[in-house]
Amino acid sequence: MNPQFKKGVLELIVLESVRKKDMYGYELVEEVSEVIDVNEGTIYPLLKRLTNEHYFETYLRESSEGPPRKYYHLTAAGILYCDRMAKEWEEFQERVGRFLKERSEHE
Amino acid sequence: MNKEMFLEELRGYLQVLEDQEQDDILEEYAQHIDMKLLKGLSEEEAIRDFGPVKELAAEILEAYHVKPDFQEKKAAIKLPGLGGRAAGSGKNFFMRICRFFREKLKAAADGIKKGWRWSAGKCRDLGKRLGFGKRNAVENGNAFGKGNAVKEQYPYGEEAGSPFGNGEEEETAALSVLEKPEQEEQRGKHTRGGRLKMKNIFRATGRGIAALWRMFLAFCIFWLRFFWNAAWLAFSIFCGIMAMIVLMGVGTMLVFLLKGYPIFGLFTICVGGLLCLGAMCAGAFGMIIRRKKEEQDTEGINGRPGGPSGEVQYE
Repeated sequence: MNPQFKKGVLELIVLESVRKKDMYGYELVEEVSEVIDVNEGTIYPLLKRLTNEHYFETYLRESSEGPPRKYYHLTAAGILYCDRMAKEWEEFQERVGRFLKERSEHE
Repeated sequence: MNKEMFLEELRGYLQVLEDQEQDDILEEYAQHIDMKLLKGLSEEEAIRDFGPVKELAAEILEAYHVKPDFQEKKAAIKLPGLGGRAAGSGKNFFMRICRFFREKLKAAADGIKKGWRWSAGKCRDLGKRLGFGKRNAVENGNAFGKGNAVKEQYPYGEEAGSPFGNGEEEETAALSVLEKPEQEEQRGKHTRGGRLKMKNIFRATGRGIAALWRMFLAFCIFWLRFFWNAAWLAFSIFCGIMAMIVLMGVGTMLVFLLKGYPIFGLFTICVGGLLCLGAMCAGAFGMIIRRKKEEQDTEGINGRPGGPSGEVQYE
């Protein structure tokens, strides 16, 4: 898949994943990897950015194995942002889909 | 690349961030790698999945709205501060001299060692030839592995040219003149095989000696310049102090003059002295600064301040 496609959509997938339940980094990476094939390294910078923009907040929780894990939680601002992005995505893919369909009908 | 190396490299790129942030980010990646290890992957594989470290770092920095290539650019245009030249230029200069010294000394030592080994091998050969005759020598050599001594010299000798890099051509050209008489001498003795080895060994030794000599010259010039600057500085300070004393004198004279004492002549002398000393002080100080500037300029052009090529232009 075109990496340019992935880049925009990755943010939406990450936001939606965390919306369901709070997750820690690796868990999130695995979840996202199931949807799209993405370089694992790029998810952490994205998490960092969304945290810096206050869409996420983080907290530490002990784990049964290894050191405590950092969990990401979607904030109220994050929920609004996520809704907006989801809406934008729907609109976007609907338009592109319609455009492609019209094209094929013409031919 | 293992985990430690990866984390260190990544930290290197993230220097612009606060320590706490760096730790935070690295902690996350360390945990990720640990998880991968638990799943049965190797460190190598886990790290390979991240892609190039530099790109990864660029993406992280992007999250902070930091220009990813800021540090490189800063170094390139020589902004002052971390990574820039102005900050530690004195130290850099000193370290470069040290490195230069070490490299050349090693080259010289290598050359001498090669020469020694080669001549030792030859002597052994010669001894064998004289003692046991030609055939015996060959057999002996094969039996005890001594013949290898000669063989070993070949790859060694062939290599001699390569470690010294490209920029040495002019040096070899100069050296070939130096080599010739010795070569001529040796040619009579060893007609086959030895010539190539001889040449390489002499070249290596000669190069080492030339490098040592150059280094010695650079060293001399460095100290010469140091003392030169120091002398000017001392002179300038001396003149400055004198000027201060005379200034005090001028003040005193002025007071007396205003009170009506007939010392106008003395006052004029003092003012003259003050101006003269002041000019000398400024002149001497100007000398140092001008030289420093030149140094920096040539350093910028040649990229190696210790090298003699930079000095020749204005010494």
